[in-house]
Amino acid sequence: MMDQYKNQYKEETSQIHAPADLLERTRQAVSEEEKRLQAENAMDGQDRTGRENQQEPTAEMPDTDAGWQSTERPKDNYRNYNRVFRWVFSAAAAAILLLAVHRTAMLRGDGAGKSSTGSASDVAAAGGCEADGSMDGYGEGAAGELEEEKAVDAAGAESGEESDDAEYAAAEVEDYTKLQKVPAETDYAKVQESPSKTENSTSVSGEAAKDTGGERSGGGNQIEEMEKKYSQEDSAAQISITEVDKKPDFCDWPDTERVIRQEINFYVTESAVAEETADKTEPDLDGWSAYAEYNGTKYIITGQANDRDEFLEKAYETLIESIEGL
Amino acid sequence: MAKEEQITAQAAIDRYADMVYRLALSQMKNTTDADDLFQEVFVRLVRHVQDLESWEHVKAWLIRVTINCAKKHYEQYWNRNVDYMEEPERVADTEEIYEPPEEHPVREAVQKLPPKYRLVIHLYYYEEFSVAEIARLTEQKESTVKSQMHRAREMLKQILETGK
Repeated sequence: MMDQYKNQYKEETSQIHAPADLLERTRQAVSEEEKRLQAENAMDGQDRTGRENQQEPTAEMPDTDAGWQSTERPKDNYRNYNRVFRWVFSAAAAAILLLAVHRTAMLRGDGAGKSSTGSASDVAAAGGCEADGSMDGYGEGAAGELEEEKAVDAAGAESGEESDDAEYAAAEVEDYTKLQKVPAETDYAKVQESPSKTENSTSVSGEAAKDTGGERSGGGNQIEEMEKKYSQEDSAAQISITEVDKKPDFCDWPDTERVIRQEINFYVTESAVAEETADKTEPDLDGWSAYAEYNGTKYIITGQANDRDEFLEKAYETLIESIEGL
Repeated sequence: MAKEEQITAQAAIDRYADMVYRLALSQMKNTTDADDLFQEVFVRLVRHVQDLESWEHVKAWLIRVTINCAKKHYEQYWNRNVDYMEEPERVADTEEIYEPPEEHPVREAVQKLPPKYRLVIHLYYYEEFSVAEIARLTEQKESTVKSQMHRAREMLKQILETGK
């Protein structure tokens, strides 16, 4: 918007004020909501107090009472189970590797078997490390999944699903807090790091992947989606723009299309620059090129995209960015 | 140094009522929907106000929730089949249309833009947010916001010059 209109718009908009009756109604609605919230909090407080009162006798209950234990200690049990499972799994993986290497050595012959004992133990030790690594990787992968699930929840909430208003608004707060407190690069790095580690762990511990296949396949899809998203962003970054003196030859080629976007003429062709260059042995099959004129200046825009429209969209954005520099 | 006012929903109404109302009106085009949106935003704030640490935080929260509630409103109207920001006139088919007076030509011209363009123009020129801040508030890439700004300005120029 031109500057004279900017000031005029500000002036005209600043004359708008929320009507007094709307303010009054909103204040009433807000105070009702506050009362409702207080009542809910009071109810929660009573529930909590009641639960604490119930918990007191549990401390005195004998450990043999399975009924009480099952209601009070699910998290502890789960944590213990995980801890035990992790060590048992690592030990089992190491033992299997050791046995496999030892058996191979035995098959090759006694002499060879003896000479290879040292290396077998080394491999076993390495296998143990790798197994540990894989478990750690899996843990991080799971953490990544949790984060992604959060993100998905937040996105779901923000898309305006009416069913769960509380989650919706909570996601708003959480999202905004993330934006304020965590630099974008950190988030990106975290998400990038997590899938790659998960992949490593998958390749190392095949058995483990089978055991936990259900969970991992769900997370895998999410990771693939994230990777796809970032690869798309990367490809967006590959768009390049060059100022040229004359209209390039590819504009007259039969397969070059002329497309008008926001009153700008684009001549678009697939892999034109690659074919124009001297080396025609390796054409860039996914590459797109476009020629456009804007304010009398000639530009060639090249880059990669899945299809023509996607490329044109990126080309248009790049052109505008480079010219206007908003 | 003056004591900082305690952050409550009622105090937020005092501070940001006009800001939220202007944004709601720019998005909804008719006063009835804008009123509903305004009320919904502040009622929601009651349950989240304790999580907001500063007035700047409250302001950003209010803007973001207003935008999202407006999106939700469009999605409900359009059964999610059409891009929520492409044809706002349909919303006004059966509703009272908000008509800015003729002495507000620029605001009237902005109201003729599709909602996504109205939003970036309003946030950039009236609220004076940067492109990066608008990108965060609207959950879009900065390049998308820049592109929207460019198109919005082109359209606005045409409307102001030709009246269409």
